[in-house]
Amino acid sequence: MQRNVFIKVFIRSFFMQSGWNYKSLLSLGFCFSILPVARYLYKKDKAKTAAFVKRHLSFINGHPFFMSYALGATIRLEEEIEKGNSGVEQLVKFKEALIGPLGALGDQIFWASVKPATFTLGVLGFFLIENINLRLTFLCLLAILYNVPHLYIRIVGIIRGYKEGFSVFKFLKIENFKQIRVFYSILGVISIGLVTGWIAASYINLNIPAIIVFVLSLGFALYTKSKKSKTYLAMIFPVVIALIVGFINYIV
Amino acid sequence: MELLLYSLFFAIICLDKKHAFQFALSQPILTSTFIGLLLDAVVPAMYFGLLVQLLWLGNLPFGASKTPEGNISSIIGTWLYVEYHAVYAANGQFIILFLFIYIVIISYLASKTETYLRHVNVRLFDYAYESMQEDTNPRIGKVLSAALGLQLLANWITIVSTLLTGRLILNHLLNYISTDLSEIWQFVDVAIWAAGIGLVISVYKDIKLKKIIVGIALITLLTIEVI
Repeated sequence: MQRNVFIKVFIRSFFMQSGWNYKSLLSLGFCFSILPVARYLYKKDKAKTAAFVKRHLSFINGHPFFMSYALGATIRLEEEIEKGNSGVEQLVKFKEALIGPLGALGDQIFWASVKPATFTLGVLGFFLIENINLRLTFLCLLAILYNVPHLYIRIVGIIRGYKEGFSVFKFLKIENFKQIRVFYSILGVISIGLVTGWIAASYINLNIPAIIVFVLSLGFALYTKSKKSKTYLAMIFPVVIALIVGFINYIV
Repeated sequence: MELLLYSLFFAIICLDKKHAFQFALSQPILTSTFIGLLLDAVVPAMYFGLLVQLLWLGNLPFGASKTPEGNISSIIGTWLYVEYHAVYAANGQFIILFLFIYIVIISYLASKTETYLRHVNVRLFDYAYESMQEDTNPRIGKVLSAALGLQLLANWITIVSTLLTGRLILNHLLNYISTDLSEIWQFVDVAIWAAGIGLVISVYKDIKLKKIIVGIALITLLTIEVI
């Protein structure tokens, strides 16, 4: 496989979620990403290209960054199919089996670790830095902090997936991404701890009603989101608490 | 004209959240800075952006789950905050209260719009699949462009319409809100910060991590108070 095919697949993979739909989820994005492979393998054979496109329009889901592993492995398997060493059925089953691991890994690493850690650090940084130019520089650092693992997974996923083929399964375990997860978890925990302490000190300043609002709001939001998964309630009710306390304060 | 151009810029930025690239450019901390730079009011824009940033970090878009569209609504909130906070400084906390409720409503409506567009994408998918005959070229790129275009249009309409509506409501409302009542909403920003923190902590499921967060918070609080 030529290098420029991999580059095209990599660039197209940024549109993985562009055609997200309730019937086949990521299949439009996946098929769009892998189309250069069909053009390389089948050139002007329209019948084979059509068959290729149809098999990659089948249902698929996963974390958009981690889909790179599925792309890499699929490129390898498509080569095998073209050579006659593998069957289409195996490829379809393989892709279906990848849905679980790719989704679970990406969600845990990016949505539950990298993203909250990076942007909580951003909030902390803005508290500590008052100079506007330094804040802008800090924003660039945040973008790097988020996008280094993002681009790393997208690039390495395609390469590793291609090298491993079917065996990429063995690699898709949380232990193999432990370093990223641990680093961002530590960063996130420290950042949110410092932000909490900072806001408590800055806003409360030993004002009893403010302490009541802060503690009740935080506790309620945490409980409602963790135990009940009610996001809107977790956001709205703290403000209701603030208005009740404010109203009592106003009357008294 | 300025409104249309700027809102188009932010409508494109909002595609970054899910639909293309995903470089995290649509996070409130970044978009509020862009708004501040465009409207020449960086400090208030950043203040509002920070205030609402934490609210959306606790929403984990696992699989096909529906989450509030906080990034686009934060843009509208920040924009309106920049426009109104200086003129109605005495009602600052009321403006924050109104904008908070407004962005929560917008985040819900934008989430519904996205769900609708995902259904529209089913039709686009069907079109791509059915038109894929043996003698035709694949139309996946065209279909994806159409899906992206529809999402961009939806973002643009959302930003423009909610900005204009927000202005209309605030212009009307602020005529009736007395500054004497400011004591009632004086704790609104404290509640928003606390809710944001609670939502972010909910991401960390391990009880040990929660204890560490509380420990770090207490040490920070005590250190600042002592200093």
